[in-house]
Amino acid sequence: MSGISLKSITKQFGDLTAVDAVTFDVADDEVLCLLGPSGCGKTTTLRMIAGLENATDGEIYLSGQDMTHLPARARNVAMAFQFYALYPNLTVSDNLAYPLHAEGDSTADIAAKLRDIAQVLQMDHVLDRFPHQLSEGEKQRVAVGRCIIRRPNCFLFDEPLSRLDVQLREEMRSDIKKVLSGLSRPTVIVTHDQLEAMTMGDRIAVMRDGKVEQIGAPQDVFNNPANIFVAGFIGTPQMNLVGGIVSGIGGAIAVSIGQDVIELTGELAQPGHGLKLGDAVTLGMRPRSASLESESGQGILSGTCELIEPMGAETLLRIAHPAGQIRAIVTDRQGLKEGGTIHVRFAQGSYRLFHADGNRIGDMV
Amino acid sequence: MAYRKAAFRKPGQAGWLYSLVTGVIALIYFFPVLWMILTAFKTRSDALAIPPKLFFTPTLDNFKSVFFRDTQAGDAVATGFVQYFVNSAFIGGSSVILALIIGTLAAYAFSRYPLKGNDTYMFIILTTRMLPPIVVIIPIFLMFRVTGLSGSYIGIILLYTAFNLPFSIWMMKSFFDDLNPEIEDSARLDGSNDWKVFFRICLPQVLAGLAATAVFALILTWNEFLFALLLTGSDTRTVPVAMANTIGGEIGVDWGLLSAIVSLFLIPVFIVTFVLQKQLLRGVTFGTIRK
Repeated sequence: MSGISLKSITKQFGDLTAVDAVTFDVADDEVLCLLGPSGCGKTTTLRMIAGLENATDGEIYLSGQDMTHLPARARNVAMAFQFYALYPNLTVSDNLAYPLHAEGDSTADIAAKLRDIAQVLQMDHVLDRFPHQLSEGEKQRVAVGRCIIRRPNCFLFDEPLSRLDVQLREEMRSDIKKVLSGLSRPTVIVTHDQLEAMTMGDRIAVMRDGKVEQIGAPQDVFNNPANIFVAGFIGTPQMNLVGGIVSGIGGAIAVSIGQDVIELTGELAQPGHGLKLGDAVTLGMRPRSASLESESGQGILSGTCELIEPMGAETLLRIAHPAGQIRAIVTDRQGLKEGGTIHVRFAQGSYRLFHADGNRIGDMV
Repeated sequence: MAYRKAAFRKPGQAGWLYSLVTGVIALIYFFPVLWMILTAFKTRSDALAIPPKLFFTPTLDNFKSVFFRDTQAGDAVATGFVQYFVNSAFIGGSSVILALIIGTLAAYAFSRYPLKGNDTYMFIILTTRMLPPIVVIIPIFLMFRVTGLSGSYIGIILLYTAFNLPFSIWMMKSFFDDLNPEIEDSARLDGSNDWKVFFRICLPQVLAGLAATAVFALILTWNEFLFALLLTGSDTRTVPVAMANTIGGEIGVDWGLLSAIVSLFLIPVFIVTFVLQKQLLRGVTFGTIRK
């Protein structure tokens, strides 16, 4: 066993189950992003790996060792906190060296490691400053530096970029990714920002209400969300999720959405999903797979154009459809006006079909 | 925008009207202290002169008689005030240091390792300060008699420590509560045990709070009269009690002497407050109590 291994980890605060039987492994050189809305238990999961919270139930293995009941200081885990958690009374170099003192490194060793880290993170000029004299970006670098200065069992990042402005965030995102790939240690990053998760994670685990809803490669989670929650959570703009009724199961499955009927082809059309006529289902379509049609017809959704939002290269249309609002992204907005009737077709193969219980039907499309 | 500028003006940029009003108020507050210091340098007749004299020939006689009394034979005899000042400093200093040590540890525990019913305990601690001292003095007096603590240094030091503890705990707890717990978590992950987290990480961040608590506790203890009157003996007498003893006698109140004692009595508090005020300011500018 290697890396990080969580077995059915549960955390209860009184009556509240913050983390509910979470199980996952992180390989030695893998970055796993825990993604979810606030309050979903992702930070609590991270803190249990670190040893800052005791797991109510379950086991935690780091580098193959059972660490479930060890205190934080004995786990050899490096963690970067959301608010950086720099020691305010120590200079940057003392901050960086703090974990090394605890490990009992020699003065010469510490100096050498400090030099290396300062170079990697371009921090030579701030080593003698105190944390309150640093910019947000510099603080972030120090926090990361204090993690990577030693060789821990794993790295944990709690919302590492949430306090930075957009530009700096992009820069730090790629910097951290570069640094992490050079270290090949198991890493867990907690974030509520899906872009961060998609770009930094080798795999992402989407959490809700203390449970892992889906775990997989970013593209896989994006393409094949396991359920309606993941489908709605991943992707901007959000995937269209509209309720419909199964209106045909001979040959292709037909779904009525308001007055429009969508026939599903490909794997979704195959029998064996247990659908019956009249079943309530939810259809999911990514806004980017939409194209405009001139008139209504088979496989086309028609509605009133509520809002036109130019986004630069693309235009986001919000269409009022009897079954709910539909978002479509088009590249050509000529001739569109708010209040007019719009006909959109979503590409065959871009449909995702969900049961009334929220789970997706069919493996791949 | 005009008000914003006013709110953030630099010191020394206030208009003359503001300065005048502030100056007048400050003078009203400081006047009793000023008058007392002036009186300390006056002769007996100057001190009692009506109308009061603002300009007079200063004399150091009052300060001399704080420490030496002339006998009828013309010899100078020590009054014992040196001892009383030493007593005040020793008793006040020891009890403040004790209260700070115990109070800080207790406050940290209350803040970081809360018990079931934590708030109730905090409340109970404070209840000891809700009663006026005069109410509790009789039982305490009896306890001191029975235990033999009456008149001893250890007795009055313990009493003042207990007297200062509630305040120290409440004050220090609020400072610990304001610290970002992530920093302590981080130190734990960096291999620190609880003691190291407390001494290396937390304590340096609350130095400003420690200074403020020390100043307030010291002022309270330094000026305390009632307990000292009843529970100190002639060897352990503090300045406020000794000061009260100079009142009376055949010549009535010797205002000049009394003012001289109080002026001397103020000096240590002034110095401590001044020194720790810098520490307090340093705490703010070093960002130790900022998040």
